[in-house]
Amino acid sequence: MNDTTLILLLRAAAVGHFCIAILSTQLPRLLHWQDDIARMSLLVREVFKIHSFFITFIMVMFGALTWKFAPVLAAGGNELAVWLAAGLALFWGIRTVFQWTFYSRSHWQGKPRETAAHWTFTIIYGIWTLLYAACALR
Amino acid sequence: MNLLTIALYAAGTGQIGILAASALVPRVLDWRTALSPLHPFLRRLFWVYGVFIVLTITGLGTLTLMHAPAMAAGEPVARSLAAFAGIFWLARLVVQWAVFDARPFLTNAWLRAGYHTLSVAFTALVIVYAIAVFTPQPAIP
Repeated sequence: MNDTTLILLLRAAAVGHFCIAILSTQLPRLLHWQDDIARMSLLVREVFKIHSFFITFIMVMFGALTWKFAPVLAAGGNELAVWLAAGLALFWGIRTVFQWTFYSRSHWQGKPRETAAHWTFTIIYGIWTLLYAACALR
Repeated sequence: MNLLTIALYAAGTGQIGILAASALVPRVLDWRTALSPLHPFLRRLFWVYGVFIVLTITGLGTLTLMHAPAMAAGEPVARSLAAFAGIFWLARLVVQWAVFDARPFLTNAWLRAGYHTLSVAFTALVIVYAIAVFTPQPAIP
């Protein structure tokens, strides 16, 4: 894969991170969690909201770093960029594994919309794992 | 080795130490009981969020330890990573002071000491990363 293609894919991944960040702020509304969240104890509700905030923030920062340093990540040779790419590959690799091992299949099996979402995220996370791994191994 | 590099090594080590402290949180706050009434998917998501925040802190700490000299020298990728870490810990500090009211959970001297130690650690991390971002010290050849 040449540098130009890799840069293009990294820029697409950066935009994808921004989309995940936006999506994660909308999850309670999309998945109708408002009532569940309202029933949480005050502490659990606060921790949940803080966790959600930090996950969104992390997605924005991963996206920003990927967008800004796409040429450096694609070129290889910069030691920190190589380790950053390796870290991102590990992050998304673990997330891909979690998609299949941590969440119960009962959440999506037999439900067309949830099944489509499950496979879409599996494929996106898997592609990002391979993309960052490719940058780390250059 | 300049002072900023040493401070960044300490920051990297400190983040690993913070993770050790954060491992106690689920037990101290009895998350298992607190989360049991939730829908199973939300309960899983809660843990997944926690795991990936821990992974991110591990990454920030490890990359800081491995590349402290580049960060201190203001190398572009390292400087941006320092900005990421600085904003992350600044947000965590704001949460510590402005969002959570931890007083009901600080039931003994050890927990109070731990809480205040964490506040100091978060502040120190913000300061060290801010110095790396705004006044890096390029290595003298």
